[in-house]
Amino acid sequence: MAIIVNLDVMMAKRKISLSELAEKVGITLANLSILKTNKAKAIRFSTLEAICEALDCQPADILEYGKD
Amino acid sequence: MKKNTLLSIAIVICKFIRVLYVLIFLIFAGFFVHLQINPSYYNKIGLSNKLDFKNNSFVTSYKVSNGIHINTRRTYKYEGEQKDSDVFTLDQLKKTSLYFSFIKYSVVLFLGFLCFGEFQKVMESVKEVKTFQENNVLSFRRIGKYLLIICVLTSFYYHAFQRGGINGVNITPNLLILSLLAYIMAEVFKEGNNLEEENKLTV
Repeated sequence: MAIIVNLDVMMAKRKISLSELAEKVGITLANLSILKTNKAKAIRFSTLEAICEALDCQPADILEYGKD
Repeated sequence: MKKNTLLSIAIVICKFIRVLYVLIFLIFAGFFVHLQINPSYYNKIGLSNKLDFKNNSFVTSYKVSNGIHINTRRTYKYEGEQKDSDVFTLDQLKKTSLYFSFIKYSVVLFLGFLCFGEFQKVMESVKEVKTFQENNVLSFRRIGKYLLIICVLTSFYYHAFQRGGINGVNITPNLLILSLLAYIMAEVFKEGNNLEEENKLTV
């Protein structure tokens, strides 16, 4: 996968649990888990915005491009 | 609600047709057994009564309502003037030909039964709003395959009698078109399945 999601890193930095984040962002735990485990095929801007707001970070802190 | 009613009717029709297939097979099997037990009962029933001819062997071409042109060959084993109604009666059908026809049409019936079964499965999944799933793709592929086999099996016929035989080719384009449609539907459902997967994995 070319786009790597570093959600777990940011979550660890902010010391926030998955369920807590899911509640703050307003998406299901299952969907957040999909995102965290790099299984997601796409992410909506609205979701990204909500995650950035909840974790107080930039999109680049969560998403990273890596060559296969 | 309207959609569900329509699908429910389609499912019931599928079930009815499957039962009909089983009944047809039972009647066919009964006929097959009875023909062997009491062949004289069928000495008046002929397989060929559409054309009358006097040659010992000839090839004729005629059109069937739902098929492509057929070359039907009829042969007599010995010289002399004979009538179709005397040579091609069911009681004179050779055992090998009888068994061959029985197996052939049994397979056709069985595949038809399976086709409707697969179609029923698709209808049931659509009714449960689980339309685009891998199983439906497989079901449509199976339907396409079964229809293709039925088309091949019904494309030829060979009936060997004690004093002659009838053989020919009868290609039914309807079955080929249906088979192609089933394969196209499989591709459509595959695409739908991919889109649904993608949609599911969009956070």
